[in-house]
Amino acid sequence: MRLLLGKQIVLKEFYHTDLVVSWIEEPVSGASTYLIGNDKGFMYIVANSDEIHYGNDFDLLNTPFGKVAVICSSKGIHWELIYNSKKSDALLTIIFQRAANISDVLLTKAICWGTSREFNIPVALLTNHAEHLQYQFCVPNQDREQSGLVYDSTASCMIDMDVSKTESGIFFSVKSFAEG
Amino acid sequence: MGLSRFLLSLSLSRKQLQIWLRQLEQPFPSKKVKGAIKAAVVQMDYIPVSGIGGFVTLINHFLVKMRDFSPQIIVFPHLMDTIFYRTFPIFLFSRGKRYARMLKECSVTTSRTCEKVMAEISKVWHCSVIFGTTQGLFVYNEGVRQESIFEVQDYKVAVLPKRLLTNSWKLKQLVDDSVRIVSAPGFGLSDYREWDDRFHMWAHSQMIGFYGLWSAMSGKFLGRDLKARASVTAPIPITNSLDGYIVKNNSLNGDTVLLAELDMFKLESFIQARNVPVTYNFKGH
Repeated sequence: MRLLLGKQIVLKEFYHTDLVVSWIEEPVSGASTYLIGNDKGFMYIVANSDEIHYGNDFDLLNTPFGKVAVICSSKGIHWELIYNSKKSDALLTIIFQRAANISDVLLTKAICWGTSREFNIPVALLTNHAEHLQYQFCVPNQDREQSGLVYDSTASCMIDMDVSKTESGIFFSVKSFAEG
Repeated sequence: MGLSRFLLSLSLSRKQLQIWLRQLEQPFPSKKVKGAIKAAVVQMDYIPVSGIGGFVTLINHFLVKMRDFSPQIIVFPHLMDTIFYRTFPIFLFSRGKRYARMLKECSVTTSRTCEKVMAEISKVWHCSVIFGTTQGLFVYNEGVRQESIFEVQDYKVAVLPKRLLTNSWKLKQLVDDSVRIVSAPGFGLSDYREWDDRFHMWAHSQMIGFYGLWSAMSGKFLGRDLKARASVTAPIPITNSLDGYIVKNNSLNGDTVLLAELDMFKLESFIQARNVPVTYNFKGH
């Protein structure tokens, strides 16, 4: 699975992307599916098809990769929301958040990381603070020190992952990522 | 092995205790501040000592650093009674199965002696002392043993083992029951990893919302090099550097006393602001 978090990072070449997740003001092209949202809601679009879904608050999407939980919020993110997405059998939680101040951004990042690790679910966070976007991607036990914090930056990111089903559940393995 | 225990009880006798407890450092008087709890968290490099005199001398080394502060809560590390391992006859044994058996036999004696010293500190300093021994976790307040959830200045404090710090449901239950400070006497690891360490007290301070008091024993222990980082954690928005720490040890070893004045009003405002009922109905598409 190739996941782009943010906007298209290379102008000249179109990397084949399975899923683009971006904030609503950042149009992207060249992918198979798009999840574009903000704190008020989201659109899920499958390229070359009539399939479009709209949602807000807390939604579960059935995608070709599996169930994806989407959370749109202008308030603080509670860990119980992410826990509930795991309980709903989502294999990934995606959060669109508008943060009022920088302390909320940092707190949300900490909560996403801690919850991802405790409940063993990848979490992608797009947070908008003062019209500046920040992206974070947490996958339990991944990254150099197995910290689970794969990516945390203000730049977009292309993440290459293997998604495999094992007896104990779905397992994400991050092969590489490129920052744009 | 019964002989070892007997000889140890002579080394750590009641008479010795009475003599050395009088040598404990005394605090300077200070006023309590409404809405604030003063906490002192200790990180120490392991050093085995001989007898109660050695133990009290070592503890005084830390008490001196908090004398001006007059804390209401003092948190020492876990396994504090292992500091007695240079006491006769323990030091006569070399490592092996017999040594391990002997340590287990003597654990009740070393723990009880440690408890008596800590109880006296809590009496002399008019505070709560939290620590761990080979027999478990303990809290003493004004010389009296407390339950694992107790009160300081009308604020509830919970003392938990490290493994419960990653149980969000348990921690939420405590905070819903008005616990505002969570303390865990810690012990270092030879395979210390920063992010594994953060996942315990720091991450859950953010997720649930409480002040965390995390003490640590580091240094060379029975041939292993232990690393740890003592800290006082809090939700990011109420910390000055927005990093989730009121104070922390900048090093992974060494003797340190971390002093923190916990603003309970600020924490309460943070908890109330986040205490908005949220419906979690995930709609399906």
